[in-house]
Amino acid sequence: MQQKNTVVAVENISFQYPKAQTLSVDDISFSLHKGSCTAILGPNGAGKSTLISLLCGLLNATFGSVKYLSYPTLSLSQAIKQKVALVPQDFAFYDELSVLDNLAFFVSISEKNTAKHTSIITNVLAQCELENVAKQRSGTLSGGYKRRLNIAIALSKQPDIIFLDEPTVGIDPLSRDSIIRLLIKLKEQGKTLVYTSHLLHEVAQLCDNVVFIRQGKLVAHEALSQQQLSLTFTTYRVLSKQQLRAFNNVECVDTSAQYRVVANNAKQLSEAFLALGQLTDELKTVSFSDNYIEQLYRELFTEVVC
Amino acid sequence: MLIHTLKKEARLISHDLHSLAVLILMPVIFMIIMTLANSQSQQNMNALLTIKLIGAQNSHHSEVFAGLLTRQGFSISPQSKNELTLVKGVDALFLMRQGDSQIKLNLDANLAPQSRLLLNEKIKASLAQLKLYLYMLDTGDLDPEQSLEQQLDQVVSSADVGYLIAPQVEQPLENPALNSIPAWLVFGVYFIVLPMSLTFINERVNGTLIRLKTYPITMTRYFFNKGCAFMVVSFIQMAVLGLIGCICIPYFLGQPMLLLHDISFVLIAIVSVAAGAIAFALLIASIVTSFEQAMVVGGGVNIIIAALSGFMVPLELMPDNLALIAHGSPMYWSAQLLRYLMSDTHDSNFWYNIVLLWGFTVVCFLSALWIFNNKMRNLTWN
Repeated sequence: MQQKNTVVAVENISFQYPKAQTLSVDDISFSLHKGSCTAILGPNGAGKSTLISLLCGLLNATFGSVKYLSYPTLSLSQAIKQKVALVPQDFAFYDELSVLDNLAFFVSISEKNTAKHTSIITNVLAQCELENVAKQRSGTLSGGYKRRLNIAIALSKQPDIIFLDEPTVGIDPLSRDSIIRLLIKLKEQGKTLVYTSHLLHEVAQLCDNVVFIRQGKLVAHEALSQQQLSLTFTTYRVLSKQQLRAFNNVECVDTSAQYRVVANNAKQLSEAFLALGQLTDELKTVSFSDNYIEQLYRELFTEVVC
Repeated sequence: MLIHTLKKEARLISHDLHSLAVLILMPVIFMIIMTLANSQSQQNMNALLTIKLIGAQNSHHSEVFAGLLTRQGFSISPQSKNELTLVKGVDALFLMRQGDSQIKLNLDANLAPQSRLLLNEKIKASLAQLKLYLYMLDTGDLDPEQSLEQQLDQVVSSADVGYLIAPQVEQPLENPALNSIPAWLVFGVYFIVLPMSLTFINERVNGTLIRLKTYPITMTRYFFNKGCAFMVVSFIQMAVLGLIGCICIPYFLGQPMLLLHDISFVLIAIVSVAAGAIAFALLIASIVTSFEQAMVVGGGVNIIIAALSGFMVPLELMPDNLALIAHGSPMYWSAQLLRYLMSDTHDSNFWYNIVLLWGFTVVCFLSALWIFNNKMRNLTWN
């Protein structure tokens, strides 16, 4: 069901490459909401790249559709060309040009009104904290600055929706924090972010939704709260319903005696620990994780990777 | 946007020393070497004309023959590696048309085929004059009272056929720079394929083209803008090479400068030459997928076309079939256009070459655009 602030609706989308035997993306549906960050996760070859290519119009769906609902007067192609920006994993700019010249080149393509160019570039430089390296040759920048320039070029298009491919890979923790702060700020400004990364703690920190894909199929679509903590325990035998009633949000992970409690805050977590105290004789293992996404990822994809 | 694209491409090339070397340094070096080689060739040829006469020493006909060879430009030297052996009584053999193969000629084994041919012809001409001398002596046309020098002058004068040939208009192509400068200038212009391929490949590899696919510009327009930007780079390259080739090199080599006369013809020719080179470079840049491929395909094809266009070996020395291929080469058409400009001759061939070049440009550009757009359609995230 589409919410009021749905920006993009992906409806039963499928895609098959011309010479492929199977669908690379198989009947996937989900929505992107204004001011949200959605992570698309899955092991290599799961179909993430194909799905993103479909979302940003680089490929046309074999079946189903992608609807940019916020722009009813624009065609899909127009909406993408005007409202969508990409941040590829590689440094998609010219090393030999200065930061300023790179921005000037990309702005000259995205904005026809030349009077606006200077203000756009100034804003983006400030937003991405690139003012002090504006005249420096891009190729000589540090990895962190290069990542920020990669994002700055996307922002210079003044997009509403931004697709980011591992925007923090290969940089130091401080630069990463700075980029995550920037992305959170963009969310607060109402930009819709679509994010792929193998750094799952970043996903947990930044994203509101996670779409898990395996072999082209959507295997899980989770909405994340601000802080999700999980407690996983196994028992020597399957617990009775009465024993499980002491827990809130408990779920059985598989058919054996493995259970997980997902807590959205410390209070819920302490309640879970108290309930766990009643089962001391039954407990085989207990593990705690502050990264629910990572745990979920491992559960969903362990067999695929192995 | 076009201006920013131009600025971008110009900066990319100016920061790339390899591209600058390929676009400016390499053609300038070729211009200097080939102009020097052409201007020195006549002097070198004279130095080759040495011969050692063996047999019939101190005989009369040997003395006559030596005199005639000297008049052909030979110097008689016992150290020469070119040896000509005369048998005794060769004068009688001449007149009776007997004694086949009685004169033995051994030319220096290190001589190039062209030089051997030239020496052979000059020796044959001297032998023909010797035969004429003996004939005139026999018929009494030579005054025995005259000195040998006077007799030889009379023989050479009798054998002269130059008066039968109508005087020619002065050949502007006699300037060695006119042969080499346009050719190597065009050769350099076609090497724009390397920096162009480099930017195409980089843009594809680092995701810039993927990024640009979501910008409000069609890939056809982006491709066209890129071609225009490189065209301006090509104009700058031609201006620099033209200045060096037409003025600096002839000046320093003591040869007449190559002046361009009619500015409107100059503009037409320069735009046509640059358009052909850029369209060809766009085609190669669209096909190749790595810089190594660009080096092999772009560089290799350029060198082959240059060789087929008579830049390395004059067309006159090529087999007919190869020479025919040269007339279908865009580099040859381009070099001919520049030669017409530098020699101030704009006959119908000028316009014929313009038409051919534009035909080539259109075919290359459309093919390149088709290939580029096809590749862009298949370009996806990652």
